Amino acid sequence: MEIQEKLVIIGSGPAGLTAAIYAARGSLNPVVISGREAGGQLMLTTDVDDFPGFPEGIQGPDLMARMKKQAERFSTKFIDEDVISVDLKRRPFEIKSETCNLLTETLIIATGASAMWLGLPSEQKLIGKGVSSCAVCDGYFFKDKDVIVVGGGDTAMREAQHLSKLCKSVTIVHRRDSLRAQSALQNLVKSKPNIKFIWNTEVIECLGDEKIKAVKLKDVKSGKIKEMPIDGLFVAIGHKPNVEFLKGQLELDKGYIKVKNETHASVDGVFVAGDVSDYHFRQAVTAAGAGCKATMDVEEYLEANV
Amino acid sequence: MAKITLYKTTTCPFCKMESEYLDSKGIKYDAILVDQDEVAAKKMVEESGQMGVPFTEITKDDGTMVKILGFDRAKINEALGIQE
Repeated sequence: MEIQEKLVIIGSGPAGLTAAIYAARGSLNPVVISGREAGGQLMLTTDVDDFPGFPEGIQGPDLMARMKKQAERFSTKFIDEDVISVDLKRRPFEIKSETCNLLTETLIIATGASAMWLGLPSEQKLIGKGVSSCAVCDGYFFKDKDVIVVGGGDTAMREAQHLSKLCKSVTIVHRRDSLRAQSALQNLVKSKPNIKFIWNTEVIECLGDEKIKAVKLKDVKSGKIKEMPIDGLFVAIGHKPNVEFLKGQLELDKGYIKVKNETHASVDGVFVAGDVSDYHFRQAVTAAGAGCKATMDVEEYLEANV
Repeated sequence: MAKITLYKTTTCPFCKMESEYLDSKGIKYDAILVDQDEVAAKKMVEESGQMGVPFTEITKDDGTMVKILGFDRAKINEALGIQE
């Protein structure tokens, strides 16, 4: 016999876990399908200095471990798998993960967003061979070398800052003429003598066979193309929302799940929180706040409808 | 028993996740911190032809070797016959 849940939460970043903490305390016995990238983007972030309550800063993975522990304290069930598909046309909703099949009255989608690659065939061929998206993982291999970081947001600044401690030089290549990153990070990066910028420029090809040797850069204003020899390329151009498993069952807006009244998706009983519907703020603390709102709206919906 | 070598760096979150995963399954492995050991780092780059971590080498009982770049749970499970 299949058990019918009151609430299933897909995703285990700050949005999903905050939703779980509120739901568990509200006796909804939530099930969190945490996903293969459990913990979300913060698992790849080192110093988190802007989450309230941690005056000395905290490491991203530590913050997520604490949130998970807090959700577990109030009896949240975790399924450590990816969601394969959902059926939102039937009631209760049906959620399939890799090995489980769940039925639920309500659903919170907090699947966040995953890092994007440039999408060049020459880039994909050289992943691990000088092309990386994780400076804290692979930076060591570029000790005293020359690398570039592609991007202009918070992630790109953090990657550049980490690499500047190891590498001879770090060049940030950005397709615009200004950065999107928060100013504290911009100031930090601009204060490093071995970090320089190339503005209004895109990477259009990675060159090298066994190993990356150079990149082709295109000036987006003049259209001029030039080659630049490098030892490593770190991609930090942003994130795309994780919505593939929905297979078109919810309305999207610019690829993100469309919400009305803050948390409501286009199907009744489905609620949304965090980066999967937020292309503007994208902070751990805003995601956590959205998770709280989603659960409060779930409670209201269950009272009115079930 | 398959012999497993996990190449990792101190600051790499995926490496930590993979270590925790293998520990949770009670699987024994040799962990090599390449950022603390230049010789091992060189060996890894030469053997694998790449510079990414976590990098896992699994030598199976029949002598065949599986090389896995990144924390790829599905590939690890397949190589070690782990059923979840």
